[in-house]
Amino acid sequence: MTRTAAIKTRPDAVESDVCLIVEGCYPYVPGGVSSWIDWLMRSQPETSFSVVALWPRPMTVPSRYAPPPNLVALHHLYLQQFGARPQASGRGPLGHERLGEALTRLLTRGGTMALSDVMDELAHVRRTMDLSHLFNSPVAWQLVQDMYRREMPNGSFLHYFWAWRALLGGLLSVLEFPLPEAKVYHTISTGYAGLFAARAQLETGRPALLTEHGIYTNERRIELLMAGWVTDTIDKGHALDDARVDLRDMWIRAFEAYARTCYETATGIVSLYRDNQRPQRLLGAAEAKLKVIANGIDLARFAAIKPAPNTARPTIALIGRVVAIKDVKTFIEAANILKARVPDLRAWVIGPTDEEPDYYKDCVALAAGLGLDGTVLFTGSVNVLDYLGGIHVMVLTSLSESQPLVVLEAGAAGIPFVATDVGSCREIIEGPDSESPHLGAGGIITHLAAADELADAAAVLLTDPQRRRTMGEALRSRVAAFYTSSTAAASYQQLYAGLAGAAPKPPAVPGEA
Amino acid sequence: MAAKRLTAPAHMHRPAGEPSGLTVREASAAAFAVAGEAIVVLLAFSGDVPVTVTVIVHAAITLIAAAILFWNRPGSEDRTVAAVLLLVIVVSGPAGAAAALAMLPFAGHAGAGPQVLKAWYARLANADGGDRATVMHDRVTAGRVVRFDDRPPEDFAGVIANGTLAQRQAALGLIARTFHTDFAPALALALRSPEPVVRTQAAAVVARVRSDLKLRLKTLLATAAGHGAGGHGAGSHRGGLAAAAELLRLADCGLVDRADSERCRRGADTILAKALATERDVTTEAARGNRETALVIEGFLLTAGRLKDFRVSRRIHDLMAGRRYRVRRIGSQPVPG
Repeated sequence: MTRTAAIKTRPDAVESDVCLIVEGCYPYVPGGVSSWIDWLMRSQPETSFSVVALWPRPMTVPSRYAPPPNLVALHHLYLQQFGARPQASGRGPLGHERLGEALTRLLTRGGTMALSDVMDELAHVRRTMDLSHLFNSPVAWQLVQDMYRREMPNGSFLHYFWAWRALLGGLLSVLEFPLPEAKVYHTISTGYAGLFAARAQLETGRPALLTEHGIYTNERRIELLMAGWVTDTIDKGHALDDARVDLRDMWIRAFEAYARTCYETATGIVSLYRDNQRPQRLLGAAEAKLKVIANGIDLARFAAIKPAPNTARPTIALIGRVVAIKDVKTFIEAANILKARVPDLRAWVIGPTDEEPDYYKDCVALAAGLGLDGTVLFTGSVNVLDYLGGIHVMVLTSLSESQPLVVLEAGAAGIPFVATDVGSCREIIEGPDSESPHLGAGGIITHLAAADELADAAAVLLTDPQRRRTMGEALRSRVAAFYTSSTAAASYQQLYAGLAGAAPKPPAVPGEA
Repeated sequence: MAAKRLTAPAHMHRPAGEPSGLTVREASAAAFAVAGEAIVVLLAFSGDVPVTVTVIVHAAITLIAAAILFWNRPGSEDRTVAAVLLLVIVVSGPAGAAAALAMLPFAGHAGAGPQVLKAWYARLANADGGDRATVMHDRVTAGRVVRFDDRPPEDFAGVIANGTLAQRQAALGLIARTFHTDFAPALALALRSPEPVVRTQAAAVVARVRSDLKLRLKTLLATAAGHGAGGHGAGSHRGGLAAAAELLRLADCGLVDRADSERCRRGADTILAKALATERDVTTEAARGNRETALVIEGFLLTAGRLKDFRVSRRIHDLMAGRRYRVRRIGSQPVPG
């Protein structure tokens, strides 16, 4: 990854092979999905890419990635800047009731037909009025009242109004943005990016592909269910089945509807691991479209690393940022329990400590309070490769992960893993049910926030060199077989070739339905 | 429907803070009209020009002023002052133009000021809340109050174990927003759920609750430190006991780390030891407190060997809870039945 000036935008660029649609990451937020997008483009040098980056509003930070040579255009779509100043005069469109019905259907249930109907209705509106003016017109006022009566009749209209503005503003931004020409539209999440891909598929007939790293709707649901900033305008007490729709329900329902639309319209749906397919199925993703392409790593980087000698100081390590979601405190408490059985224990916490300084201070205080000064060591940001050769057992205590690369890196180095049951950890460490022949367990899975279980598992591996070696080798074999960069790159190459070669479906031209 | 209330009074349509009167357009139009109408006056008094020509010149001046005022004017701008100005010029001729120029500096102050708009926006946002009866009436008629036929679940742990996915997710949301240490077992169960979606959400709730508890702990430990230093008066006595009870609950809830758990216990000990050392009647405080506080204090009385105080506390608490006592004996005579 390289710091660089803003990537030049070339909206007039010719048709690209693949148009990537990304929300809230590339090229301004480093790591995670942004790194993956950078890797994807670089891993397909013969394929030309354009990127549509969705943001709430223009970014003030510089791009964090140097553009690869095959990136032909970067477009910015801003979700919260829709709407022109109101016009005092001008003819409004007739029949806003139908538009209201179509929008309500799209925001509450979703689906390809619902999106198609909204696009049809908007095409009718465009004949008499620019959509940016519509959004701030008396017609919009009628629309919001109609939709409020249909969607959230018990809730506060005032709160509905502002939520409606935010939701519709984003939706209309997505539906009005000029569509870059491409052979394949590839979105990296559902939500607004997924809607954009669905719209592209409907308008051009070209295939739309979805790769989900996390499950966008789950992430939004968790945020919304816990959010203090969302006002509860209906008092439901502690009842769980109250059918009255309030703001939280409205937002969650909209994101689910967007996901349903994307799943239904997409030609293919890729997940990083099998567990993530379950929520996709629940929202209507067809079995035939589902596919798993795991992320991979470059094995050559780890080839020279030898397992830590049995005679070396017994060492466990957690590699990751020192932040609450990694639950470093459980690692420290496990080290405390483990120290009673392995007195010479060393427990490294390898990763940056500056992201949540208060949490880091708490961790240091906890270790000191438990008398683990010489046992638990925080290294800060270091080159992980320098440490892997001294680690007997790797540990991951995270509360949430998708497909953690650290498990793959440990596997490439032949180090067995003790990890919480999050993301794809179980699939990587124990192997999927479909694995044939079964390569054996590469470590032990524990429950979340269970320091005693974690200590027991680490003790087993620290005190039994044979088992440690067997599990380390099993993990190494599995990573080499299923989790390499070259495997992932080949899968995407094949997928793109298949989609680009497929005859385009006839586009559903809005307004002519 | 609530939407009807959102129609602003007519005089409030101008956006807040936007100058309405003294703009370059109005000033230019008025200045032009004064100069033009001066010519009209001169023509009228010269006696050489027919009245028709004078009227035509006046009409031309009016048209040009109208163009200055309205030509290419953005639709969003307020036109009230411009319209009044033009009307005055048309009707009153030269005197009107002069009067319009003179009144322009004051025109900006006409209409709704920021304070009036502020009140309107406050009303829009329902910032003052209105009187309680009206608010309650509105909530009932809008269907926003608790429905008593939608009963809450018996316990969240049961929902996490046996509920539908939607119920489990809703329960976890409620646990996050209204956390009580009694919910900790349900949360622990959710962390072990075989359903990945539930586990992920439970993990997010744990992260949020731990962070909230950390802040709460700081407050409670400050209370404990205050009691330890003897800086709290009688008014906060019961509050201190409640804080001790909460600290002990936090210590055992499984959501604070070992070091914080120890700090909780020490804080509670400090408060309770201070309470027992005072001359105040701890038993009464225990009885008056809620059930959880009473249990904590009674546990502490047992540990301290103050069995008589413990019995008294139990009896007072039971009496205050409305439980009947059977009289076993009067003096030395047992009461039959």
